[in-house]
Amino acid sequence: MRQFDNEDDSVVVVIGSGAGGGTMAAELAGAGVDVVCLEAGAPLEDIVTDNAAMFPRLTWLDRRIGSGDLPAEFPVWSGKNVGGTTLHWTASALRLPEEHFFPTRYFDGLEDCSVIDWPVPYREMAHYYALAERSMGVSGTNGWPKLPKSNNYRVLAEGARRIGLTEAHRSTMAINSVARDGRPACRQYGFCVSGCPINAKWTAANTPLAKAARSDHFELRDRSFVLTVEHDSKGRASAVVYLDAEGREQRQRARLVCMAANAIDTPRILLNSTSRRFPEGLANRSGHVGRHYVKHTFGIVTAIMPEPVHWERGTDNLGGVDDFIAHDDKRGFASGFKFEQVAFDPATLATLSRPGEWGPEYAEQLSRYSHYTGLLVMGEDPSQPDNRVTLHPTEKDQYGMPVPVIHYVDHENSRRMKAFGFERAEELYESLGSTEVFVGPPPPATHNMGTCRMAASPDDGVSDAIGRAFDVPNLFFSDGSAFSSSGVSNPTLSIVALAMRQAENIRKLMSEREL
Amino acid sequence: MAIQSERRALLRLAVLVPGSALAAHFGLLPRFASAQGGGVEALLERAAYLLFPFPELGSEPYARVAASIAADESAAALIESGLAELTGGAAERWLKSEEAVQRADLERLEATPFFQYLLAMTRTQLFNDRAMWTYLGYGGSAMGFGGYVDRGLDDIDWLGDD
Repeated sequence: MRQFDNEDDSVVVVIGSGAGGGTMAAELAGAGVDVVCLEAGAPLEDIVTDNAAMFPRLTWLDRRIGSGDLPAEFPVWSGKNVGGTTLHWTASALRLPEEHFFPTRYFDGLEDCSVIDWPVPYREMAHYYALAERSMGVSGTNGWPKLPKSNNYRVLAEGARRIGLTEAHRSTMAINSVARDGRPACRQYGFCVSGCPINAKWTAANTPLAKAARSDHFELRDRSFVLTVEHDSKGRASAVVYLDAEGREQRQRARLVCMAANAIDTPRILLNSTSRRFPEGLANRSGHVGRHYVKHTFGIVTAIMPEPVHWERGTDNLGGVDDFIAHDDKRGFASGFKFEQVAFDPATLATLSRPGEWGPEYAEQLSRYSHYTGLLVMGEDPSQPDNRVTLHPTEKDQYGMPVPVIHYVDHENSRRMKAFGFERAEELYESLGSTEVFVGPPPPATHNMGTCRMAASPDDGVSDAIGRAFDVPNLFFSDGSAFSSSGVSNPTLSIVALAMRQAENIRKLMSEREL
Repeated sequence: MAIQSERRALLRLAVLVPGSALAAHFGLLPRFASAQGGGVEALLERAAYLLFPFPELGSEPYARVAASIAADESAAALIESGLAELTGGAAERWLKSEEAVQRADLERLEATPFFQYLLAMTRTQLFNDRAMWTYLGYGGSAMGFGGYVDRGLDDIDWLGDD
């Protein structure tokens, strides 16, 4: 692998090696642009199919403080590895539909929110979604079959059918259904969430970072924790300051900086990068850095079936029900939601099905583990300006960086949406003969978006229609922080597609000598 | 060791905050080495059973949970004072009480940090115990057998969906 000098200001510095950062690295290095990627985590070796063993090895456990409706400890579930959260993700690869690029249409009149439309022309997305699906090997596209039905999927699909729903589908997934691209087909271990031990699942590590490494234009520095991004006298990003694997402070000069540290740490780094020119943080003249945090609104429903399900067999989140996605005025809330199937190991089930519960009745229910099934209610949450990431005024983490505080409150629209969703889920499971349906709180947030959002105007967001910071012409947002809204789709495919589009725009600006 | 104590700290803080059951679970702890100390372990074993009674499971998984908890040195003070409150300082007599009485004693402590710690630890350790997995019919990792693709991925026949 190449090694670049810290004083080399011709390199692009990408902060973060996940879906966005890994894709940027591949797209730029693959085109002959020199890239240094700084990743806070370490390479993940040795994956075992054991959730308890893998959790501390995969997960960002540096302190974060939740407030509002978020748990105070561990409000967000993201990854800290080479490959970022993609080691952990369960690989639902879904396109945002066009209507979700225009949320002001259906959130029209909703109070106490800051909803804006995407400034990205939707007609451009099809091309990049197609590139992303081909590169990620999304099964159910490009002639690759969808992953096969499992017991747990069939239960959800049959229940949907019985209550008159028609849009139960296995998802398109970034998991090989056939061997391709040097990686095998899925064997249905069912531990996707803890890392795929055979790399049937696409990750930023096994695909774009591997591609970048094959170019002669890429250096990955792992265990490198970014503290600040510096700018020059013209207000252009000029260097990135980080702690290396030995804890020593380093400064890498940069031609251009791509922020891809996920929607929590991307704004955190900028808020931590203050100067006379940017007293509220780099690229934050508008005050929007860290704000408008969206994560989808979530609830968990588990149910006991009259017969065995064995929900743990196979891909965790294979399918879902899409009938409720479209906005419908008559339901009493704006926008929509989907059901996504889930499966939990015994300890996770005991924790999430009836939180805080204990005693003989609960034990008896849990003894019927093999009869459990479940789903996530996952809906669009409207942007709110005070749902945001800020820096704690006094608490610092082990790197000496202010701990991020993440404040999030469900909008009334989200509460009504979930209440409706829970009723429908109950109907679905009762149609299959269940009399024991339980509703639980959301898991820690895994879809983190919106905190440096793209907008048509600098009055409304942090970055423009290609994710370029309004205030800093060589600073880009390449992760979920760039999203203008949450829609109802799992974000990763869109992160990859948008990063591919952004890389193409950056290359064009470079060839025009603008960057 | 530094990482282990960070995780314990995470778990401790998590159980003190209402609604952080998730954080408590996700602060999963490694197995601790088995500890000495019969009195404490006997009480912890009984408490674990009261929290999640599976009469057909046998006593060994509960004994393992108790040994794990007893070995958590950083929680020793919490456990000691909590058990004293639970038993009224009379461990032997408490162990001989009726199950319903014991459970009521435990329930009285439900809002305490000691109880929340015990609940989170017991839940995580007991439901990750391999004997429990066998008892529940949880397939666990099918990796040694080539995954579920040929082992019951799609074998239920009661749905009437085909």
